[in-house]
Amino acid sequence: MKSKEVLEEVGMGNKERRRGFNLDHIGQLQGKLFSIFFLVATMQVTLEVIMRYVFNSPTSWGLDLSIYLCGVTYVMGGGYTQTFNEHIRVDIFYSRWSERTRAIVDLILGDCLFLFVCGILVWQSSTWAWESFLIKETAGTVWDPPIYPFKSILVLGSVLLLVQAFSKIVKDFKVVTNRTRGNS
Amino acid sequence: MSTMVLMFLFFFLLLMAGVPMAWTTSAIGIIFALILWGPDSLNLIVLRIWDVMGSFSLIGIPLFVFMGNVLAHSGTTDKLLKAIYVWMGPIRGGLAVATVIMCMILAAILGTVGADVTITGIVALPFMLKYKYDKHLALGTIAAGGALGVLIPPSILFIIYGVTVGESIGALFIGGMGAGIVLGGLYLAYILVRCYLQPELGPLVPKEEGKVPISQKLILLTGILPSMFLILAVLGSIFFGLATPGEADGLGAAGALVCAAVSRRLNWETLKLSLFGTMKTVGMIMWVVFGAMVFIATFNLSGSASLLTNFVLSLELNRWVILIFIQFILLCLGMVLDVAGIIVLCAPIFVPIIKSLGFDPIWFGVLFNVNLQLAYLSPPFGYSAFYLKAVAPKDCTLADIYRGSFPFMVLQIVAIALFMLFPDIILILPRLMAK
Repeated sequence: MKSKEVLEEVGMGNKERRRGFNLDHIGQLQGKLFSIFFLVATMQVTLEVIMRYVFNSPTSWGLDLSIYLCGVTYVMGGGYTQTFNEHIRVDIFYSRWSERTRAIVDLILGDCLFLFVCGILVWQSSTWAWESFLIKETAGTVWDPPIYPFKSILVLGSVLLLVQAFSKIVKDFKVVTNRTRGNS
Repeated sequence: MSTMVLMFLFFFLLLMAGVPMAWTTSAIGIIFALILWGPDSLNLIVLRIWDVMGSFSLIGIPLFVFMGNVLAHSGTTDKLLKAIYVWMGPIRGGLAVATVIMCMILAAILGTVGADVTITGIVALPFMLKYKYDKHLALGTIAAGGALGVLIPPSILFIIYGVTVGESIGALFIGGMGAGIVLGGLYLAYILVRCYLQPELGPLVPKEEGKVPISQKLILLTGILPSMFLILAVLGSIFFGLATPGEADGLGAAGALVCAAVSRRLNWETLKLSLFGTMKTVGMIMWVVFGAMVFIATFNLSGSASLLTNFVLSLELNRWVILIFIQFILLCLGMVLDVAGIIVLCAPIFVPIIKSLGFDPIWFGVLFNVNLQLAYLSPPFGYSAFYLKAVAPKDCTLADIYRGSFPFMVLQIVAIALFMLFPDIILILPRLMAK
């Protein structure tokens, strides 16, 4: 059995379970669900190399598939990492502020930009994926699979990231209001 | 020119306010695109992200992180540490030497400085302090050795550099290996000489404790064979051109799973921990890359990049002066920014300058990473020192770590000078590679 800290670091601890449903659970679920793709991609790449050297017959779909599997995880990882609030930031000053100051600054700057970026992403990716769907676009590689399902993943990922942006705002808002009530 | 200055100004202001890098860079990229070209230009963002998602080279990042996670969570790294310590104990300064060697091996397995420093700090530091090693030497060794994580392949930073500037990732890996070995060798030589001259810094392990029967030693050695084989297989298949770097990392991950299964440490919990941990790291790295790609796309399209290149070239300075100046900028940025971000932001700006000055981009890529080594250790914001502080005992202060790191920073500058005087140290291995 691993220590509690190790488990909680990736959202396997009890802390997550105890709280009632919140938006973070969506982010946790998406990350854990799609992380299985790492295992699939590992096996698929291994299989591809074996096919090439042992059976001398490389597959036509191997290359595309491993790219798609990994590409999906990049997009889905964004929301998952956000539930831990661990997106890389410069914390020279940030780490010295109180929790309340951090929440206020985040509400004014970070969260607004986060929301803005997610909004633009949802808007742009959905029109772009829709156009691709309308012309039933294919990848244009040897395997040539339809490409719009993969493009739709970016739309889904952006929407899920937007959910996490709201979750972050709610959390920061709670921190700010709670303290005010406690002090008065 | 004003666009360029404004973009960087906002960038630094927002970063200092603690806004995550991914949102800072992408928001600035989007806002400037909106101002300069209107809403029609925004599909640019999606296209840049799409490039990253569809990149075959980048699949090395998740697969390699997964490999490291499996090895760390299945206890393979612990075995490695034990074996190295038992073998290196009986020489003066031997534990510090063992720590550097361990860092170099972990670098080939884990590939992120955070993981490297944390694991070494947890295991090696109490060990060295217990045997009365000098505190500063012990701390400096770990901070500097851990930073090798980005230089010794397979390194995530080389993958990102290779993709952003379109150079061969395999060649970067192999070139980084030469540089990493030279730098590690310098550290080892320094520790051995210093402990020989001042035996009180690294005393011998007491006889009765240090004595382990040779049969025991051999058993420990067989325990680490699988992971050593794994490292050789990953690097060897890249060097001999048997697999692309991305495929080699995938094979490494499969090998790590096999290693864990053979030692009966592969269970549901280990697998879940590794998978989820990988997801978190991938989410962190890739969104920094996405954001920086958007930023750079706007930056380049606005003509700022070529303006900057022309400006630097019009100065007509000696090319080495420009190179050293660029390295100085990297050092300054490295003190505050995350290294993955520095590469995606700076490589597209600096590499065209470097190329037009007649330098080799592979060589510059490796040199770039050696500069980042320095950035990891330098106060006031050496990330390596921060990671170490987080796991060090209370009486080891940040000041102690910086003081201990200082000799190693001097060695890094020596190494940078060596690589600039003799570019072949870096370039000889990539030239021998199978094309």
